[in-house]
Amino acid sequence: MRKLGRRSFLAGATAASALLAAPAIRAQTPNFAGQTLRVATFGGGWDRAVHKYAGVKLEALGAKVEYVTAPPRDNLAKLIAARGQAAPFDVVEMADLTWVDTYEAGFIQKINLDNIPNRKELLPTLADEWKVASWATQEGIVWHPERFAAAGVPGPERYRDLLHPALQRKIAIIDISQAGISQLLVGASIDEGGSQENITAGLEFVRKANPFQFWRVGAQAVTLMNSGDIMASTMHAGFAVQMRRAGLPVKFTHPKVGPTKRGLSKEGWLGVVKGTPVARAAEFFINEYISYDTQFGLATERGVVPINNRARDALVNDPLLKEMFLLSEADVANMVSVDFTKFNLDDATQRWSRMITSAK
Amino acid sequence: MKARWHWILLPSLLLSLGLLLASQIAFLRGGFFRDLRLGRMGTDFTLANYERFFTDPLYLDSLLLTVRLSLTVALLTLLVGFPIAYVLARLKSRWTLVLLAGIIAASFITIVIKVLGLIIIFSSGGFLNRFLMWTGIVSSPIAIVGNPGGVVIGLMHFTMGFSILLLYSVVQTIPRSLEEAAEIHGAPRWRVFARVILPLSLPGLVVTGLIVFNLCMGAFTSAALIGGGKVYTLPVLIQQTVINQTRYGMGATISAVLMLVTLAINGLSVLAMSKLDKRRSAVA
Repeated sequence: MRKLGRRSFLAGATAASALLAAPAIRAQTPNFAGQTLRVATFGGGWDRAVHKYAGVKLEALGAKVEYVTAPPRDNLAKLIAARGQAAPFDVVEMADLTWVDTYEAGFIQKINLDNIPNRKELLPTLADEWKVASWATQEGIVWHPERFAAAGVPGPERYRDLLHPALQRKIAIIDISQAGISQLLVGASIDEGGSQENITAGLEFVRKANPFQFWRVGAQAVTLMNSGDIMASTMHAGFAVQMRRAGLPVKFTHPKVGPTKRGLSKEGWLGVVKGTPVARAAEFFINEYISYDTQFGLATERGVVPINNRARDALVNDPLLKEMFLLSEADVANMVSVDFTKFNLDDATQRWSRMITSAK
Repeated sequence: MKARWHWILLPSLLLSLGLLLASQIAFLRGGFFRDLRLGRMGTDFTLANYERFFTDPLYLDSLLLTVRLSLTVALLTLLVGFPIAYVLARLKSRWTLVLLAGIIAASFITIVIKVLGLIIIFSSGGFLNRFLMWTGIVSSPIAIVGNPGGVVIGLMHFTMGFSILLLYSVVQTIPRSLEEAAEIHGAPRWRVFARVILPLSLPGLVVTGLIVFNLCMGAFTSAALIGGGKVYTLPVLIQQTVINQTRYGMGATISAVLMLVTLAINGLSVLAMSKLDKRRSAVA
């Protein structure tokens, strides 16, 4: 009889343990065959970028991922319209006040955080049982230094610097209908002695700025910057990244707000729609969305700030992103964050419409 | 017995009315209930939304602006489109089909692309403004973004293609022999136009004008994108009320008023046309 050597014994033992463990591993790896996950998210290529990093991972496990693309308020309207019927999607991407409204209206269900292990790479405040952060943007001013120099206007440091007479009808401002308007109104208000509750100064800033356009789609402001119609626009730093990569020599200013603050942050949130038949797939997708790979990919491709700490740290190596974003913990902590329990979008919209229509 | 051919229109009329009412009934009903946030509405019947609409300058100004813009676009589209349609209809060339195909193809281009194209063409560094400034026609670039004039141009761009196609088919129904007869009897070209072409085209012109008017009353994209957030037509206000504020009751009221005003203007126009027709028949 052949003697059993040490090497053969080890090989045999490994093979045996692998065989024994295989069913357990198979049980841990979810199988989503035959399931379709519908994700409500932004259009304009964002959906494709999300799919490239997060969606494909779910599809590799047998599921099909479909995207319903629209701004967050439009997707909220779809949930409202479908009240009492089957929801039109399973995962919803929300921003700003939309998250509060979606939660208060009872459209989302609790998330099983055990299925979101990647949340450990997020700040604790960025994930709870109702929502998980998906990205952050940094709101401010995109501006064209050559045009500013030609007009003899110094680069902006605060929102109020956009009131320079040479910039009348030469800037674009985000429209009231868009996520990001609250940051502008709150930031401009606080800078003039107002507050989150009192945004009169912010509205006054918008009136005095007399912009060329209030943009509803980021592409509008990019087109106007390209064509030379505007010299600056209030928008998030990601657009500055995209413009610079497209060859436009723009700069980005994180505005000073009041005596100590600088920059304004905005977060996107993911929620699982109440009553979804594919909750586990939804949670798997959310977990992949906040993974290092997806967050780093979205940051470099689309110009958002990762909420995954490891991905954010890695961005320091990208000279353009390092220039455009505030990445250090101290800088991020010093940014203005809008408290949506204090900001009244309904009232702001009413006052905005009246201000614009009476301005003519 | 005289055949009553108009009864043949009854099924399609009923179908159209049914579809219109079925889709609009929720709006018509919703306008009578108070908003309770997040798309929820009260259960007590109230006229508060309508009262607000007709007493608040924001809504009244928006209604007037929408009607004014739509009328302007309808008139200008007819003014520009009719000569083009006439020339195309009378052209004896193989190019006619190519030109018509071009118009049809252009009509299929999505409105967002058309609007963004216009914004580029009319940009301060765009070829149109450079040309106008080079010729000395204007001293500074013309801006179409952020003003009602720009919205008119955008809406004309949107409606011109199918207006020309409609008017083309109208002109084709006018026998060329009538024009030739008038010319043989010494009528100058302008009189042929005023006494032969125009009266015979009038019903078609009115119908085309009404179609353009109706499209403009409900047009959102041109007003939202070219208006640059500064031109508050009723569709823009509806979108803002429903999507931004989730006030479905008020949104329903604005929609109902928009629909009723549009229907009223259409009804009055048809009434005016039939009276004119009767008067003409009596004179004849």
